[in-house]
Amino acid sequence: MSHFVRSDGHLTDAALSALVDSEDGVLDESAESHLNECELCLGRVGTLTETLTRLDGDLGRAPLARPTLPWRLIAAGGLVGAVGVALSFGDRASLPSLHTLGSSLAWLRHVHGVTTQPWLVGGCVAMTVICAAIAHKFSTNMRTQ
Amino acid sequence: VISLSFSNIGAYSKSVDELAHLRPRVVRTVAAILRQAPSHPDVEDCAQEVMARVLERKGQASSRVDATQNYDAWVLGVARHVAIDRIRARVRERNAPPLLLGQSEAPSEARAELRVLAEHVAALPESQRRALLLFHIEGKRYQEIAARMGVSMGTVATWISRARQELLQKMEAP
Repeated sequence: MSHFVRSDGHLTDAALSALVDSEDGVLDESAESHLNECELCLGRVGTLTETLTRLDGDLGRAPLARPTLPWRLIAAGGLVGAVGVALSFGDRASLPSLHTLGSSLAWLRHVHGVTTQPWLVGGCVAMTVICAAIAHKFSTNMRTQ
Repeated sequence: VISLSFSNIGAYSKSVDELAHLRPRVVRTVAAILRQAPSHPDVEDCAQEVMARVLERKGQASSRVDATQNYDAWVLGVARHVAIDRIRARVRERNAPPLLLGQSEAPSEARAELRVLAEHVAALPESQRRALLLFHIEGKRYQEIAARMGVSMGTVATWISRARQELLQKMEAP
């Protein structure tokens, strides 16, 4: 017996359940062609649709494990990012002071500092995002195990 | 532009002819799923909707139809979806209570029953529970679930179906 066709030739509940879930793609050709001809199985699809629509309502309300954001790990990632951003502003001391306004060398040094900062900030933001993604992945696996 | 328009009209006429030929089977399919007589207004409505959807999607579907060489099966598939959508809408329109909430009047009792349902879900065999939660809670498609769990889509369909049957049996038990 396959996943989708019973020994009596009619479709299994798994096949009908997949149809109700709009997952027709899982059905093989024999199941599909049987369904197109069998009013008994089509009637079972109708009955099952009604039952599953109501079961969906219950499952939607039941206090099952729901996806929640992994706040602790996101906070840790955010902290890493914040430290990185703070570090990127650390060379403010190199800002040209008023009495060196006229010195092109001081401005050049500052401009050089500014051009390197976006990379540092970008790297930290990327690290934050990666931390969050890893945390989410881990928490998803934990919820479904 | 004129020749293009004429070719479109030609394709459209062909679809209408094909559909007219298929209409009795569409009506039979919809009537069987809705469990109504073919002359029932809901069946008529659905059949009309199927015709409209098929004509709208004719362009998109042509590649798939060419690939499978099975236009009839595709149209009947659309008919099944329309009928399933109609039943879902009918259940929601009737505001039919969910299975558990319908069994008890008091919200506190309903909440207790939903907690029991959650316990039943937790007691399911691990593979069935994971598949059910991935589908219902995380909204994953069968294909994604199969890839994540390393099994075939047929196995995923079986697990989800068995999990639901198990839950329904336990909920119906006194």
